[in-house]
Amino acid sequence: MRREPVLVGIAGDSGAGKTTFVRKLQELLGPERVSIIELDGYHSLNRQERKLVGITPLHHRANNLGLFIEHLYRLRSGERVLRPVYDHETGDFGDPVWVEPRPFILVEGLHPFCFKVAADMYDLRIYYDTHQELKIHWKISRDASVRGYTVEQVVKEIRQRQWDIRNFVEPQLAYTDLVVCLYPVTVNSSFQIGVKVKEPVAHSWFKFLHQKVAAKGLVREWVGGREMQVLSFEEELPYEVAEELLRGVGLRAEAVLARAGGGARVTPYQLMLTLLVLRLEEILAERQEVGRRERYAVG
Amino acid sequence: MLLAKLNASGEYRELERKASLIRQHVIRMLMHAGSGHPGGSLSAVDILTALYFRVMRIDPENPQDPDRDRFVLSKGHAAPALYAVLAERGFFPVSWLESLRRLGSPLQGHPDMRKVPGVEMSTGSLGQGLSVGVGMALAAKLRGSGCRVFVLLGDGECQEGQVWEAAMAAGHYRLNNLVAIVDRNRLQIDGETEKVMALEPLAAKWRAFNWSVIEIDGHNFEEIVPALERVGYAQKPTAIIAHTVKGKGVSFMENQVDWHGVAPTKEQGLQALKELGGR
Amino acid sequence: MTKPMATREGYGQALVELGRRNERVVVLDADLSKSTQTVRFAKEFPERFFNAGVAEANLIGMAAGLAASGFIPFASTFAIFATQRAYNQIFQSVAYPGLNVKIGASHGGITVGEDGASHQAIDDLALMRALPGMTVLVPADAHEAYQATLAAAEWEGPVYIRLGRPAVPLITPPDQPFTIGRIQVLREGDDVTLAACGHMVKVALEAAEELERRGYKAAVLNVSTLKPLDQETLLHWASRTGAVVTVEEHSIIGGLGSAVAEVLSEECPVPLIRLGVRDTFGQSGKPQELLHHYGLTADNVVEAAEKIIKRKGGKNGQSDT
Repeated sequence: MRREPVLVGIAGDSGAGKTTFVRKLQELLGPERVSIIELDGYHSLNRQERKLVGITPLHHRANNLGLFIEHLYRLRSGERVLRPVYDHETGDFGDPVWVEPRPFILVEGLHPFCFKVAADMYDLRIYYDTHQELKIHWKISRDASVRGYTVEQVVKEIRQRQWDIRNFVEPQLAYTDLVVCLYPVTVNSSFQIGVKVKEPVAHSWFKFLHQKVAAKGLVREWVGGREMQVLSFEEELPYEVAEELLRGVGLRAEAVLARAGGGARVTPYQLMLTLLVLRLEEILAERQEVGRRERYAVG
Repeated sequence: MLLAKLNASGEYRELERKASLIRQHVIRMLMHAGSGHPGGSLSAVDILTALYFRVMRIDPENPQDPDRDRFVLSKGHAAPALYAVLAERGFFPVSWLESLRRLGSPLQGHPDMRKVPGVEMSTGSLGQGLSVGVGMALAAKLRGSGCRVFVLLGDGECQEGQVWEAAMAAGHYRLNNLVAIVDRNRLQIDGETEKVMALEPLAAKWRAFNWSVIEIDGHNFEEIVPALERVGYAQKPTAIIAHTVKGKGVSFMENQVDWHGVAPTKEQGLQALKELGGR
Repeated sequence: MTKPMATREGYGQALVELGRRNERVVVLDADLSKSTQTVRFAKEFPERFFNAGVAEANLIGMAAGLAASGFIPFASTFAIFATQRAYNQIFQSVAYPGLNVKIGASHGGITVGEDGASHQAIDDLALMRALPGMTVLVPADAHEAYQATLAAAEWEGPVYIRLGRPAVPLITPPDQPFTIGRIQVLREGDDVTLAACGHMVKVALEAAEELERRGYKAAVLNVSTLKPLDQETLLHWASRTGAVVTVEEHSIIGGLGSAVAEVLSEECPVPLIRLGVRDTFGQSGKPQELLHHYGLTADNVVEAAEKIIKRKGGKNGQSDT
């Protein structure tokens, strides 16, 4: 009997930290249980061709979204697919690779659910929304040392993408189950990363946490046509406090938290990762439960 | 709980609910004020709701963000609808709405950008908003900003010559970041637009000025949202002719020209609120 | 002495300088860029120059939109079209929201010359002065126009700058910064105050020289900011001399003469003669011929000054026996 994998889409601008995030999730869920699809492989034009046509990779037209949707459909049905590969170093395509329908399939890129037909296939749609200041900070610390970019150049490059992001990437917010915002928090003149998690009020998985965490009262905000509940984590927590917090709302988080946090303190980012892993495990368990019941019904 | 899938009717349910709440605000505001324009406010509510709650990238916490999307209410007499939307979106307290048209209130009979957070342009004298929108769209191009500019015009307003001066300029400068939405409710103060001063063929007029034209049902989010979100594909400015019903949502106001600029009495207001699902 | 130069030329040069100094400065025109001199800016900064075509209402609306987005737009066309064809646009989209739009209006007054009444703005100052929050500048020569334009860019809020077509002699120093809201006292005197703006400042200076030859000392005021009006300076000289003559290349209704009359009648009622276009239209002719026809020459000013000095009871400080 073939089991449907759990399909997770992670949308967001490049440079937002999606790749790191997906790797962390894979590590925490267990690498043998996770397949990753990078949507950049589905570019329909290489760098040179894009230059000739005059479009950025953010435009739908620069991507073979038809093939991508076909692959989503097959993976969801438990089939393996031959996924194209794009090499960021050369700006051209490499050899395609097989992707197995493992229990968790993480799909990350600019447009994982830009069309409803794709959006409908996921079990969880995450929009990864990193604050511009943070993106600039990362890009500079990464590029400045290697290529000697100035702050102005980096800001200019980020600005140039804005039009396409607004028109082709951000509309996916309307299909999002979970918006993850990373933003800089200044603490004693050094800065750390704060995390906001936004979910539609209509079906919030984190709602049991809101009472616990939201000392400042519940914050709500409209995102992409729906009202969302906003949950903010700004401070590092001692390991025990974090564990107790999660146990207090009925989550058995020790194992995951230990792997995610490791040390004596848990950062907002690690806490968010832990919660996500727990949620994905819950989706999988539910899927398997449904599968069992169906088998009994047939039997 | 976890497998909340999207479906055709569900995607816009929250917007529909919000629009109905906005309509209730509009009726209450006009009842309190004792004057104002219910017809053209109610016909524009769904378009405004789609813009402010789904399509536009704006942040009430940071209303001066230089890269925010802009909205200009060229048909300034629909101010009550704009105020209700801005209040619900968090630009100012909902309690302000009661003060509409009162002496000293920020909520003037027509929008004043210096008094109301979130209002991008002072309007009221018809025919001017699109020119301002052209200026804003040019500014965005000049700054390399990804912001988009949306302008809502009345259909009667399209009889103003300046609208077509602006339309010509937008076509000339290929402002694909500019969207003009015409609230085509087919009525103006003196009667039907086609009798007072015919506008048809309206779509052809915009097309002739080098605009990309879309005609939609202005009360159906399944048509409003995709039309507004299409702006990124266009290589020229986009005109959306939204076919609407003046007074939409209140049976005795719908398609009645007499409700252009008259506020409901208390009894009429209560009846309207009942129909809109309020109290 | 330097060659005469039109105030619009000073404006055009200043725009180029502003373009270099500040990338938020943009310029718009309505198909008259050669006449308004915005063409200089257009050549050097084509990406920041927008032609609205023959569409003044849209010209002003576009400028308002650019200003609302943080730019400093200078919108230019002929004074008559800028004010009359877009008056409600300036009221609704610029003055009422207090947007930072600068209107550089050339070809003000009757010295437009041969084109005739249809192109001669004689009520533009009246119209602009009536708008709440509008600043109205009327530079006297190209130097002052240059400095006034720089000052307008620094000023927060709408500004109307009236410029002229013909070359006129340079009477102000080239590098004297322009202070908005201050009257320049070009000559001191005790017998009569000659208050002038624009091209008429030179005429008033000539008249003052002639008056001196005839034994009268005239104070000459350059009212280059018509609004907000420098009441303090005006009242000081009005009370010191006890008689005022205003000279403007504009209707005597609503312009400099009216502004001065309003202040004097409330604060310091002294005899006043307003020289200007007397509630009539302009016509075709050479600029000098027209000034003569409408009574705006130095001779006319001298005549008016002598008349008013007589009316107030002669020269100050000595008997007339």
